[in-house]
Amino acid sequence: MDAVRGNAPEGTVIALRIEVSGLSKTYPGGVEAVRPMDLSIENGVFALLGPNGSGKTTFMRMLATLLEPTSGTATIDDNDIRKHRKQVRRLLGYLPQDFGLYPSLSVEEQLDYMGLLSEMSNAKERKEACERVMEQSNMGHFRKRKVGTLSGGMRQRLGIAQALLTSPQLLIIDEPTAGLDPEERIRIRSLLAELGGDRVIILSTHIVADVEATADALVILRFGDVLFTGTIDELVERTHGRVWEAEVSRERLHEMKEQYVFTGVYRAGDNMRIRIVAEEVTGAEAHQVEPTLEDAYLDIMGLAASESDAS
Amino acid sequence: MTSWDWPRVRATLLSVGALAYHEFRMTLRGPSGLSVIVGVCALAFIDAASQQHLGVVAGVRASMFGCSMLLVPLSLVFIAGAARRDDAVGAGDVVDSRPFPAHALFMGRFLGIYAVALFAYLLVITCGLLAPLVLSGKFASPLTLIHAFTRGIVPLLFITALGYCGVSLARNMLAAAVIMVYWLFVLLWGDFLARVFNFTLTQNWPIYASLALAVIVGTAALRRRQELAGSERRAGILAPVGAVVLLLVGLIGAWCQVGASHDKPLRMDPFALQIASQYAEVSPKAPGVWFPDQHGDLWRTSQADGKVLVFAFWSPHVPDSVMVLESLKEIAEGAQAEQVACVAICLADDHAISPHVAREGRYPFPMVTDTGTHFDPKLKECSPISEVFELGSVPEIYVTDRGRRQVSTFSFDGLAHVPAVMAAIEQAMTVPVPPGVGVERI
Repeated sequence: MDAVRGNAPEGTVIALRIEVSGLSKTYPGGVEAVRPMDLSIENGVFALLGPNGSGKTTFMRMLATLLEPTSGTATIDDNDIRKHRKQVRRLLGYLPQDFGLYPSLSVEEQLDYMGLLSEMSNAKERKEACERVMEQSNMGHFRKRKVGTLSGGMRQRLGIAQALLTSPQLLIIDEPTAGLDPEERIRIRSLLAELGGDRVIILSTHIVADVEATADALVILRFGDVLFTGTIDELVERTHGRVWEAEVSRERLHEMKEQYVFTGVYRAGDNMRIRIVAEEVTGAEAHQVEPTLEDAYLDIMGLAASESDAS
Repeated sequence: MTSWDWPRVRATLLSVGALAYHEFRMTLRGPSGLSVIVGVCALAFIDAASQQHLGVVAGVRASMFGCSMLLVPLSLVFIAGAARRDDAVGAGDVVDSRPFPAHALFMGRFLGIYAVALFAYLLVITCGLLAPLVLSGKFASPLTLIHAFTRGIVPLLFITALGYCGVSLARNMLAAAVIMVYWLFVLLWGDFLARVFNFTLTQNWPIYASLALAVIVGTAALRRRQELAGSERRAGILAPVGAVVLLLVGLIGAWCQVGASHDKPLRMDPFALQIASQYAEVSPKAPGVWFPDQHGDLWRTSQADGKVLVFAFWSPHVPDSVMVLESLKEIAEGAQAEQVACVAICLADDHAISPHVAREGRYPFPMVTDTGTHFDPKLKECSPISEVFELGSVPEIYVTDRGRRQVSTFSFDGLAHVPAVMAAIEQAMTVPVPPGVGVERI
């Protein structure tokens, strides 16, 4: 299987290699969160994209050794996630989607605490690591602030900072921008883009713009199935020549919704400007446009939904 | 670690210490931690301030009520809260994804919360002892603080171990509630069995220290086992075996305590059975007693044959009754030692209280403890000796002549009756010694 690689130039030393083979998870009650999946991941920022409930978090928790797979396994630098949990944990930094930190500790105390849990027994080494990650996440000014008083964005940055303490080669981050205001979202995206240079970052999101801004490669999941694995360009290329824009009246809009997969609807005076993914468009004055990642994503999801309905 | 890797063991121990320190600060800084500390300290101060402003009284109050007052809120607030903190704040996945061993993390956190309990207890005792200093300028002996604090070490270890391990294993607050019920049972329905079940009694410390350590080591071993489930590594057997050994030591200790230190079951002692079957008629003659004194030696009534006897009864369950010891000290200093024997009889289920108070107050007379005492709201039913002497309340002073016939009794509430007791002693001295008393036994 070809490895999904980030944007590291050819000849760059591979920091880490993740091999996933037949990994699946079925929860008690028969809910198949992840169906048997095969993947190979190397350097760069790697996004898991899919709607809520598509199995992104389950996959990440299995990779972070927090959830026992039902079948299959994954290796991170040849360390099996089922058999060598401790070694795997030493390699990774993990930030869950809904995480909490200890509200009565200050930012630097919280980082010190997480440093201890990362087997940094030497106080000096811990202090240096805390300084480094506070610098990286731009949290230095808030070092004395109690965690309980931080805003959502600051908490998220602190969460990323704690995951970076050991300079892990693998960073697993679940929905890092969920619930953040636009300014904080841009900050987090920039931080992740910076961090992706010399390590593997696996990032889950259901926001296409996050993927566009940060990821080199992606996997699209739907109800536990892998729909696509590859780079963003490859995904966009699949939709090339099939994205259309047209201006229609409001009355016509409803009729067209029944026929086509819409990837955007915008107001244009009294009419509506629509964006459609289709082989061809009839019944409206449409012209071809360059596809975006959002078009490609919605196209692949729409196709999967049609196939599922048909079957 | 498959073999003893000392640098790594040292590193783990350092981390455990640092984690304990974080846990300590984290618990105390939280709103619940602070409010509990302030609340119990204020209660201790008010409790001590509302009573006699004497250091020795404050010391006994702190000893008797400090643990009870502190342990109940501790079991609910500190321990359960700390054990469920990860779930409460949602830090579980962040913590679990770290490579630090789960059993070492458990130990660090446990030590932290135990340190909080000890610290809070120390504050409570200090506040209790500050009251007499602030209100009447009277110091308590430093020994009072040391005795009261050391008495709390094992009970707090036990309650913290039970609460923390129970809540963290069951992952709900039910365990803390069970401990609360247990504690209330011990407090409210004190009986013979409660003297073994009561983990705050000093004489029970070897039992409860072993049981607490068994619970801690056992839980740590379980954590280790859970962590390694499914992986290639296997958990060692040292910890589980250690937990079982400690559990056995605790249970054997309890067995020995019941058999040796407490009242033996009557069927095991035909003589005791025979005595118990007789109707206990109160005679005008004071019954003989045979109890351990503050030095651990047995004090017998026969040692005072031919002397006027002054018995002063007190109980730490009525902390103000400690005042009688000051009066008895005055009486002992005023009376002729070769003709008058003063003895303080302590009615306490905790066998260490009387020796501690004797040392703290430097009392010159024998201070014996009725080791058959159990806590009972009705004083008369709390010990055989209180029943025989028909004690209605404590403190009480009982004066006999040299033939051990009762001359006077005084229900005591302060130093004001000392002249009356001295007069009763004078009167008792005038009664002739009955023939045979004080001669043959010497």
